[in-house]
Amino acid sequence: MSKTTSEAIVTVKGTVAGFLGLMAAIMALAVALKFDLIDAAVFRRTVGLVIGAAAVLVGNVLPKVRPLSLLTGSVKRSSAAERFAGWVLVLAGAVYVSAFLFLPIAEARRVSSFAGIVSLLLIAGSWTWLAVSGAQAPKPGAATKSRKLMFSLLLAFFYVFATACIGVFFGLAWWMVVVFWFAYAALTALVESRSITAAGGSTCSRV
Amino acid sequence: MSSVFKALADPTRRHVLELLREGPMTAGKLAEHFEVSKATMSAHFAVLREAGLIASEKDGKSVVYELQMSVLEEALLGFARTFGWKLEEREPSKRRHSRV
Repeated sequence: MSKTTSEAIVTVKGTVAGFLGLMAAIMALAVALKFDLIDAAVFRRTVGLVIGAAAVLVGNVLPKVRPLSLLTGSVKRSSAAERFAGWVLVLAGAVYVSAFLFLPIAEARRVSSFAGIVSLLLIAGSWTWLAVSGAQAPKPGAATKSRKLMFSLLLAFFYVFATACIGVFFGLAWWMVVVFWFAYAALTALVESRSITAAGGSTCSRV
Repeated sequence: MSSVFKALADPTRRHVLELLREGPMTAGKLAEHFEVSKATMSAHFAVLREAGLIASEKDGKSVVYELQMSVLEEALLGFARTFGWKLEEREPSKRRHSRV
């Protein structure tokens, strides 16, 4: 097995373990709340800290994972967009963690949610601009299984992060869940069609 | 993590990372920016690859390098670059590219 492949597997395993750990931590806190081992304020504060820390970790590894290579073949532009998203998520996560560490709970929820929504809008704007402004088809072979898995996990994290932020201001309406899953399905279809086009293009050029 | 610090400690390797921020480049194009032998450059590339800061891909006969840095590693590069500049200001002679 080549070094690059083994490194990719380690990264995927670490990310999946991280997500399972995050889920286990939140479930353990929910159980502790249910049995009155902790009060609601401690629960909210700890969940806020966990989500903020997750944002920092995901933002940190995002430029290394290169998820946008599934959408475009322009390495220069996609890596710039990934670096931007990474920095934005790390800074938003740092604000999130600081708010839940140092501010009263009501204030912390408002500040962290505002930081989270702004960061998600900036990332969405940057990635939309990348997709709209003459994106090239991705390179054949860019859509490896590990990259697809990481891309799905990243979208799942964005969903958790968005619902945590939006829920404070607007509550979580049913239509938000529906919109998310439609957007998720559309994006997955786009990634699949682009990888099929890229693979088909290389076959046609040989014929 | 120590391999990352080792990789960032050298000004030539930091310069390589700065060049790769502009986009992927072949080993030959990168080597044109430095007055060192190809063997020395290959050793620098190996250190950067070992630290996971760059990724390489074969494109015909040439090897294309691209940046693969996390946000923390990029921040460390920023710190190293700042301190590197201070060290270079103390030594006003021509910029020196060290051997590995």
